[in-house]
Amino acid sequence: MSVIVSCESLNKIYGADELQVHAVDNVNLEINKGDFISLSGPSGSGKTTLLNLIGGLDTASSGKITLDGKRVDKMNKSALADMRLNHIGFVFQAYNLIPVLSAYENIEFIMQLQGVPAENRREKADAILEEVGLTGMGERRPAQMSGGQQQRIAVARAIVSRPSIVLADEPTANLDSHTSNELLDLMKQLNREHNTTFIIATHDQQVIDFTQRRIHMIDGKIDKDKKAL
Amino acid sequence: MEKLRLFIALSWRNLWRNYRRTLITFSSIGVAVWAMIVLAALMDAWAMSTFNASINTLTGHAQIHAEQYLQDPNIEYRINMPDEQQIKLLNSEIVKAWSVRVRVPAIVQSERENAPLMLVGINPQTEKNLSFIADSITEGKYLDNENSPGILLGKKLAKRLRTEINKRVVILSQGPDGDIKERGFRVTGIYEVEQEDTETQYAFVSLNKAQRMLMMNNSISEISFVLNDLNALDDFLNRYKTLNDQQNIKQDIKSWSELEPFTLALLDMTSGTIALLTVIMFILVAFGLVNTLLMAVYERTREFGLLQALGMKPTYILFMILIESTFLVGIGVIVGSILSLTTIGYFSSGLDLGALAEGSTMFGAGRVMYPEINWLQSGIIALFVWFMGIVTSLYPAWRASREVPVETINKAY
Repeated sequence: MSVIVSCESLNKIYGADELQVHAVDNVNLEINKGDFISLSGPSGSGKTTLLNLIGGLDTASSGKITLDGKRVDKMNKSALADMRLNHIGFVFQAYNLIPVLSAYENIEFIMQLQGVPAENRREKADAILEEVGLTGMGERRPAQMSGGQQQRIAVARAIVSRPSIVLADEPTANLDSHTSNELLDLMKQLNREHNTTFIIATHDQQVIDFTQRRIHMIDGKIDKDKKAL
Repeated sequence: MEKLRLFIALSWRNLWRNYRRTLITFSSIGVAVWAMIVLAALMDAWAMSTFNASINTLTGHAQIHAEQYLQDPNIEYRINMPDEQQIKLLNSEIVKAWSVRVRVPAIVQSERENAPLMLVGINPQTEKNLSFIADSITEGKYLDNENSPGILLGKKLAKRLRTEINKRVVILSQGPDGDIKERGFRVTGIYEVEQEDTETQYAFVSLNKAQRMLMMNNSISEISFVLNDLNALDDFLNRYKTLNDQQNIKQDIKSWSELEPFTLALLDMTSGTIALLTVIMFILVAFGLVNTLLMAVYERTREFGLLQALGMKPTYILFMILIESTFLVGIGVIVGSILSLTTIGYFSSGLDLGALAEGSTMFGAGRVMYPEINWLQSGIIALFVWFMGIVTSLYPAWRASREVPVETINKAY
């Protein structure tokens, strides 16, 4: 199995002097291609910060992060944007769809930034809508969809351009258990079919139980890193 | 191209997320552009009215006098009637009309009153195409020919002299020999003009009668002319000067701008004032514009973070906001321009200043202004506002592009 993400002596410190907070404290971690991982821990344990550091949304105080063989911690803003565009899919707790765009346009957004021609985009968007079970809802705006539907569109947007890795931050936090289950099934299916790596930061035991590898964090440190039996 | 399409779609739709605010901004920009263009057209019309009034009164596009006449408009300083070559030049195609005049200070006496004025001897036929006199007769009639025995008085002067049509007045003036010359004239016409000072300033008699009364023989005080194209004036004056030099004739040749420095200053001031007003009004609009865009940016900080998280570069976000302001300012500018051109078109047949007439005539302008659509000026104002609007939006756009994804992405709605 090839390593897709590697963190070495990774630290993220907020504040200064006696007010310093070690959000991520000397983390060493390797994630393989095709892994389906949960990142759990109490609030303030550093799981979202670690996710943001891996995704290049935040900068590390020290240490190395490698994604697909490239040093994330050395990239400038523009290179980070390129990396996020071409290698990473994001799913957020608050869905974070672009409100003025339809479901189709939200899904096509990344492809459009990548310069994919309109016909190809629509073909892929139709296919992914079918995969996430929302065929026929492409023209709807986010405000016209339920939370579960919006989150499915967010997942569709995250995976439509086949990123190497999907980083999901509390994707089920705003969903009921039935919708959560459906979403997890969907992510697992995509992981299986496309060998896409998923890292899911979560509090939700249902999500943790669903994943193959379970990383537990406390006070910015990796407390446990277990594989499911 | 795909990216551009995306940015345009996003910008356009974002514009309508808060349509009330957008409509208010459109309106404020539109009203400002409307005001700028209409005000500029009115100022131009006012300046043009002043210019025309000045040219039409007696000045023409240029005048030729004896040297020193302008410093001391005395009968002593006179010139000969134009010679054959000068007449040939004055009759050339570029000259629309020309005429010779006698113009001397005099005193007019009626049976009851007297008043100082400038006695002007004119050739009624050639003068007709040159100045206001023939078109301004409101009582009686214009002079028939060069030998007409009558006199034309301004309405205000006639009232002051308590005289009227068919009554006699006596004109007294100094002759070339220094003696006082006098002659009686029957009032054959009363003229009326917007500039009331003109009515008390000038009395018109036929050229021959003036020359005979003043014993000037065939000499005159001035030659005045207008050209078909004012732009050809400098060239024409140079040709006239060269002709005079060749014949060793010494005459004082002055263009309207030298004869009417106040009018020239007014025209110069007008263009400067238009530019100044445009800038001032734009500054007022700019505050509103920056406020609108900053509000729009602050409201969407989370979204800009999201866009960056999804792989949009900061420069793309800056570009997207600039497109948004291009739409925002552009639509306001287009609406304002259309409204202003419609307004100017509506008033192009004449805008009666009514209550303001006294003030405007004081500055030499007419009571009725004729604003014209100046495409170049309107275009410059519209493009200036559009361009400066985009420049003004650089700051909010830059702020938006500086949003740090992680700090904004998880902010609650």
